[in-house]
Amino acid sequence: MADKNHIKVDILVIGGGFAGLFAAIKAREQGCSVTLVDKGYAGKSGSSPYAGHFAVFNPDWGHDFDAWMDHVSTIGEYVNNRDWTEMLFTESLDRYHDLIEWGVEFEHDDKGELIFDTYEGMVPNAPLLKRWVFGTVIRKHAVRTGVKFVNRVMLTDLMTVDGTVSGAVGFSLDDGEFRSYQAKAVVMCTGGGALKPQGWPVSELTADGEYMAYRIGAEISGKEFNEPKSASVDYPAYTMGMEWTEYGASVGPPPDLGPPQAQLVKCINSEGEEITNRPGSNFLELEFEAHQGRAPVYYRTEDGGLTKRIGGAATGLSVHTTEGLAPQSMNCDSNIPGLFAAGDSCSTMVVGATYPGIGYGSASAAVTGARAGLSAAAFIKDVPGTKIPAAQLKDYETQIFVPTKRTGGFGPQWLTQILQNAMFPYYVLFVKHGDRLQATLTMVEFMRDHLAPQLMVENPHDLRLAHEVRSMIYNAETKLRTSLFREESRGTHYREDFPRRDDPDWLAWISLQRDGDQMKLWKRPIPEKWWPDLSQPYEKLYEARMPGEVSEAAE
Amino acid sequence: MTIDRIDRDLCNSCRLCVFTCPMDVIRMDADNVKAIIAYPDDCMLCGLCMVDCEKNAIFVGADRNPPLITSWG
Ligand SMILES: Cc1cc2nc3c(=O)[nH]c(=O)nc-3n(C[C@H](O)[C@H](O)[C@H](O)COP(=O)(O)OP(=O)(O)OC[C@H]3O[C@@H](n4cnc5c(N)ncnc54)[C@H](O)[C@@H]3O)c2cc1C
Ligand code: SF4
Ligand code: SF4
Repeated sequence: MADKNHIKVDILVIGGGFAGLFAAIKAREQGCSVTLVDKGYAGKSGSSPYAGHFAVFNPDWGHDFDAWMDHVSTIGEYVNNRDWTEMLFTESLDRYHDLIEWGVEFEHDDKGELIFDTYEGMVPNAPLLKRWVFGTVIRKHAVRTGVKFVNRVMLTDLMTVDGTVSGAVGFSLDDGEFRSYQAKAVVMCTGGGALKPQGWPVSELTADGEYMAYRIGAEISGKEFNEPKSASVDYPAYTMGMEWTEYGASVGPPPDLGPPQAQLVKCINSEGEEITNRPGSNFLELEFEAHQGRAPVYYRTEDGGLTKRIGGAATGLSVHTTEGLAPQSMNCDSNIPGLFAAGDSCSTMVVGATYPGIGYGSASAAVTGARAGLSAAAFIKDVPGTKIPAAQLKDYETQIFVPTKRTGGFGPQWLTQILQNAMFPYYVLFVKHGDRLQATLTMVEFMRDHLAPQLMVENPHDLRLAHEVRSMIYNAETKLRTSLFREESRGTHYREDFPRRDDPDWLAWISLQRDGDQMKLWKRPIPEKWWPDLSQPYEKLYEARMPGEVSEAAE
Repeated sequence: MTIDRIDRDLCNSCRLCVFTCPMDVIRMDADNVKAIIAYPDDCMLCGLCMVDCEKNAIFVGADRNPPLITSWG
């Protein structure tokens, strides 16, 4: 089957955001043949086009390494992986230089000085990317180095031979035909796992890569945390106002609908009280107010206007860099030989339980992407490459197209809605309680076991939706199970029935893995050398207050 | 509403928006000449198509009506 639909290559990269593009270029520079497959168009899909900042640690710009490390650990509530945080800081400058070399532009002021951005109380660090365009610039560089691109092909399954990954399969959105990519190593760069939320533009990020990896036994982690973004009540899907007007679009809604992520403005509850946000860009204050019956919540914009906000704009996503395949070393290797991961689909835990600032997502994707690309290139040196038996390929093909063969069942759009109905209300993933998590899990298991197997579609577009909703059901299950398992509160994980951080018991990460038909969960303790000084008062260790948390002094 | 409309007269058939749309909302018409809104329900209002179209042929609004939930479907 050696035609253009069935390709053999040294390294297959799945997903073409920052992570995938970096991985592909670095592997290609080592002399490997590299194909990058995206279900959209590498350089334009995924979260990457929206990144406005790229965090760079640079002592020449006055940055203090220890202060940065402490900052991330404090905001991330001590469950960041400090080796990876350090790696981000040590390698971000090199990746920034790569971008400049490849032609990516950063914003400068009138005097030609680089513009940096920062949050109140944050370490200033992040040069501003010229938004939207950099993906195309990096892609052009990748083409120059000889990376081959495949657009609009959705991959659904990883192929294995004797427990080693040997490529992936999927189908084309255009002709609806089967596609296979045999490779000596695969780098998973499929981004985070959202549930097609009404707010953030991340509806194509449905945890497909993680679900593929999970099914072949990969260790997954970081699923209990959240990206608690908000959106405008009136225009819940419209988060990109600033960018649109910046581009001078003469059509579309007026520019006064509020900033896209509105993180620099103050929150006000329905009683007119200002809600103090904790440091960090992600906070659950909106959800806490709503739970107390004090919604609507407003943002006061910089010009004094008020916009009504709702939470859950990115429902399903964990904190960037904290979900997906658990790296087994600093080489971005998974526990499955031949399978590497980077970016938002690699759970390095760079930032811990809450996102600490700006620019960490894109920079981290670049750093891990480069590492994964180099690691995959080194790995394949000793790999002869296996041939997938024709019968095995046929099996994959049959499985992928099952929904197209059914004459009765359920539509993927409907199942997506049903899943969203179960998962979207704030009281499931944002203000959690054991009883509610369990009840929702029961429904999600029913969707998994009864509805998903009966999906029925008529065209390639809907076949994509069918595979996406299966991944989303998996994603929902992981989030519910890990949330139940972590019987404490920390960062963006809040349990009403366990409202305190529980140290040192929960100075730990949660990993999960497929065990037959079951999802097995376990704790990975955080090395003691990274613990905070537990003799300090709780309030000092944890600046952010959780509702219902009884303070030590009051006990 | 989702993506509002693509102006057939302005469209120069470059196909860029078909590649740009991360949600596979836009396809070429049956004659493979003009871009059309093929799957409006899946539009996530990201605006990327509008930003990319050099002919300013694509119009995206700010509203999105969540579809009705039915007993089965
Ligand atoms: C609105 C928004 C604003 C942000 N702002 C910033 C910021 O200012 N600074 C910052 O640092 N970070 C920011 N982030 C986060 C940052 O963008 C991400 O952390 C980073 O871009 C992740 O890159 P990635 O390469 O890992 O994944 P992505 O860029 O998400 O790429 C994943 C790719 O995988 C593809 N894919 C998925 N499934 C499949 C499949 N089954 N088959 C084939 N291909 C598949 C997708 O089409 C996509 O192209 C923002 C994110 C969003 C959504
Ligand atoms: S990008 Fe614009 S001009 Fe090109 S096909 Fe799409 S609508 Fe037509
Ligand atoms: S706004 Fe985004 S999702 Fe909607 S059609 Fe345009 S590119 Fe596609």
